[in-house]
This record gives sequence, structure tokens and C-alpha cells, in this order.
Amino acid sequence: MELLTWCRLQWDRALAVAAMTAGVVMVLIGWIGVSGTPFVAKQVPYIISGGIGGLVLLVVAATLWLSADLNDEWRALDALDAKVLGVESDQAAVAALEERLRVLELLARLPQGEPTPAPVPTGGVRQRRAPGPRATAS
Amino acid sequence: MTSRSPLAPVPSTRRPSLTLAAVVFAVGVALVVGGWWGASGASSLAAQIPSLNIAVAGLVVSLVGSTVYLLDFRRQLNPRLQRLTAQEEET
Repeated sequence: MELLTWCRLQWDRALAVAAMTAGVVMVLIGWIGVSGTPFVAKQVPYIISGGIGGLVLLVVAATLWLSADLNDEWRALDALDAKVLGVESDQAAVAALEERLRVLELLARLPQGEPTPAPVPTGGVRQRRAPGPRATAS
Repeated sequence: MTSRSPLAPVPSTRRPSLTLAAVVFAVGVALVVGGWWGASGASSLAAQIPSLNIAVAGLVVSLVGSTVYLLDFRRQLNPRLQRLTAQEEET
């Protein structure tokens, strides 16, 4: 049961194992066929089907296995990209909160009795005059 | 000279299609089967040589298809890897 689950999830690696097994078997069959006859004209078909065909299957197996590895790497990069995007959006939220805090601190430093300025939108910070002693009219 | 910020959107990369590689493999296997078919029907070695060449061509086609597919996959992965590495160095 676990093997079936593994084959379903890792179908490319399962196919690679199957192709590799088939390739090795074909090469063995080709070798047996070639060694069983002294006539070159009878050996050539075994060389083609067993030798070259087995090599093609081995190439397919190697490609499938390496492709599975590269797919794993691609998915890992997808996960890293998603994490980086999450960090960037968190940083934007922190920057907005810091700006809002700075505005509130400026509001709190205003002297008592002065009319409260209109609420400042959080999108930007207005430059304010630093609070100091007020000039008295003589 | 302008340099791209590491946080700039990455150029779109696509995952190479295994289907295209499978088609190339199918062509390679068909050439090998055709070569075997021709060689098994000929009685002399001289008549089998062209079929043997066709089979070798099938092997070469499979090798080229495999190499192109894997190199294309690696070429698509590298920009994403470099972008993430640049972000890591910046932070």
C-alpha cells in the first residue's frame, strides 16, 4: 500500500526505476542473444534491440530521475518565494504602524489648549514645527 | 548602467515541459525499433549497416533530447536561485 502511494506521488521516479530495470534486462537479453550465435548477421539485431534499445531506456531513466530532482528544487524555490513575499508584506505593515506611531507622538507633544489639528492620514507624515516657547505679545 | 534591484519582479520563468522531451524520446525509440526491424529482415551484414545507423541515430536523438530538456530546466532555475540569493545577501 505504501509502495502504491509512493508510486502515485513520485510517478517520475517510479517510471525511472521501471525504465532502468527494463534497460538492464534488455542489455542482458542482447548479450545472451549475441553470445548464442556465431553469425554476425544474426548478432546485429540483438545489438540493436538489446544494446542500443537498452541504452535508450537507461537514458530515459536517468532523465526522469534528474527531472524529478529538478522538480523538487523548483517546488522548494516556490516555497521560498512565498516566504519572501510574506516577509515583504509584513515589513510594509510594520512601516505603516511606525509612521502612525510617530504621528501620534507628535500629537501628544503639542501644548495643552492648542486646537487639535485635523487627523493626519496614515499614508503620509506632515512636517510639523517643533514645540517650543510661544512668543508673547507685549 | 542600471542594475536590477533584487526585490524587483523576477523575469517570468516557466517550468520546462516533460511532454516535449517525451515526444523526442518517442522519436528516438521509433528510430531504434525501425532500425531493429530493418536489420532483422536483412540476411547480410552489408544490408544491415543502414539499419544499424538508423538505430544509432535514435540513440543520439534520445541523448540530445535529454540533454536539451535538462539544460533548459537548469537554465530556468538559475535566475530564481540568484534572485533569492541576492535577497538573502541584502538582508
